[in-house]
Amino acid sequence: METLLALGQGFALALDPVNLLWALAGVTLGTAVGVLPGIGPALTIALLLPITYKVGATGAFIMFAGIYYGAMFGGSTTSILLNTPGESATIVTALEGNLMARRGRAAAALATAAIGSFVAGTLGTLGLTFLAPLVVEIALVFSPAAYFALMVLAFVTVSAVLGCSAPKGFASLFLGLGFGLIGVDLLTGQARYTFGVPELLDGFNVVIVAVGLFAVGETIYLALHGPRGVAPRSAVSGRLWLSREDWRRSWKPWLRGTLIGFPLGALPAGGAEIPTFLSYFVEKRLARRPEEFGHGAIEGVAGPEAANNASAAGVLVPMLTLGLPTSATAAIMLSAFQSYGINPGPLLLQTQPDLVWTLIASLYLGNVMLLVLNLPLIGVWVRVLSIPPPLLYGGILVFATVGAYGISHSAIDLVLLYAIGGVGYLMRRFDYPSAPAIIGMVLGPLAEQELRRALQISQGDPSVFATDPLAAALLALAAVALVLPIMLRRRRPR
Amino acid sequence: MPAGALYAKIGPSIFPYATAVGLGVSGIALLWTAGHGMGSPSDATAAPSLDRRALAWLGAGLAANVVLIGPLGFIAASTVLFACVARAFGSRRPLRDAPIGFALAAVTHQAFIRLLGLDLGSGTFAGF
Repeated sequence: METLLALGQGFALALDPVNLLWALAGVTLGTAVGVLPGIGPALTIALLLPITYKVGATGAFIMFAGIYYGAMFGGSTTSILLNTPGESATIVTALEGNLMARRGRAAAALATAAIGSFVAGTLGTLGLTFLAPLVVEIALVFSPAAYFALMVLAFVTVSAVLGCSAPKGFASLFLGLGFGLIGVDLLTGQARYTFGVPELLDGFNVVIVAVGLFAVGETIYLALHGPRGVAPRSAVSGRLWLSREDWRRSWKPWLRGTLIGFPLGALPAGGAEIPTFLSYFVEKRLARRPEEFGHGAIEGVAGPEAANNASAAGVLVPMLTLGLPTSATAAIMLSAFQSYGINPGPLLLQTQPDLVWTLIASLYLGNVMLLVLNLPLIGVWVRVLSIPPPLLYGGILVFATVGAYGISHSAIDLVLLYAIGGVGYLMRRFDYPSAPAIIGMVLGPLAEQELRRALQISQGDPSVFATDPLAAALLALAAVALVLPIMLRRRRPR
Repeated sequence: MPAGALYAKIGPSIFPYATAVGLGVSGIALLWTAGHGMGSPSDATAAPSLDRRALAWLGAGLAANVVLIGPLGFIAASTVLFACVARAFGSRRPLRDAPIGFALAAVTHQAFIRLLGLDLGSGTFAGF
């Protein structure tokens, strides 16, 4: 009941015309970056971080969340029409979706993706609404030791479980943790890794690292190894809607996708990729006509598209209740909170109830806007896809420069941006995931604070991590998440 | 790094050491997997053909941007960057690319000043 009252208050604020405009701007921008291959929500929010100096927290977060949701909608369009995933979370959609498009069923594929995204996004937001207050109650009793253990668990899962190779995930994570160390130590004021350069005392700016890894790195990669010319694009014919048969075959995958996506998003395992793959395999297994998989089965689009939107809602649960980002986008949003001087965590719901509930209410509204943007207006987004790559990537680098140069007007920052872009290129080239680096950089300093707080309370006695039952359990889970994949790989005959 | 005695046990050096050890262990693990043929498939395949001309144009664009942004300002430097990157992506029409880059940079510049109150430094294009 209390939740519904708070949500009602949130709706009252979210329906304010200015906030509606922020939501509209966010979902439109989000759909656009989702549609465009090579740029995603994490990068877009990073580039827009400077607005936190000028715009109030509520407006900014309404827009950021709209970008996050919108990218999940928009990514499917590219996957279906171009067979190039617009987002990593829509890789699976390209499998069946593009086959459907080649058989002239692009309209049905786009419609089931959009409606499924809406259904899952709305159900996921409902889950967020009712789960968040419960998680907060639990989180309030977390000791610093338990918090640190939870962060360790998140580090292990994003590094070891996501991506193709655990060592590469960890290398990326520790690189990010190293970036996070640069600058003045928050507890003692000691300068670390600044090498006497005063500009480094404030540390690496997360905008420069995120934009360098994602935008510059990706652009270099595509310039050096990318395909030449414009990819063949499937045409969309007819009205975007579903036949009775398509509805019948889609609604169950939507619900199953939601059930897979939301909990996996909410767990500190994070990310939207794994739920989409799981959903795809579940649908393939359950399909009445499994032989259609590989020839454009609508279930293979409906399920994963629902799963990625539900997981986006799920990721916001640990983000808003624990201050625990489990995807690159959430990590950037966490640094946006920090630039407002707000510490997301269990107290957020008490100290900033208006902000949180307006944000959640705007997610419901944003979903409705996205349905409109992605069904009747799909033609606009299809046209966005015909921007020639030279202009698209030239523009991306210009925007990257704005984001980096606008912070401090120093050409040194640009050198740093391009150097990190070079690192991002190498990581992309050799299949190192970049999300762990961003999460490590943003979450690392917070984890360090919790660790040292825990050790100060226990007067330097590290056994606190074994005697605090919650901390011990979480660390044990982290150990399992680390060792289990290795064991499974060992057992599989090679 | 030196640490005060008060924090000797739980001071600012714990995390850097942990991070260094972590990086080292990841590196050893990577070497081990590579040595046992367990690397990811992309390592084994021959390097995809590298477009040297694209690399040269891209490098030139980025370098020009760093050098020019101070003296010439954001808009001019971005126009050069845009045209070079477009060239790296195979565009053969610099006379189309440069005006588009100029317009994009000018709009972005104005948006930043008007909407965000962030000055990007106008250089010689102060009138724009």
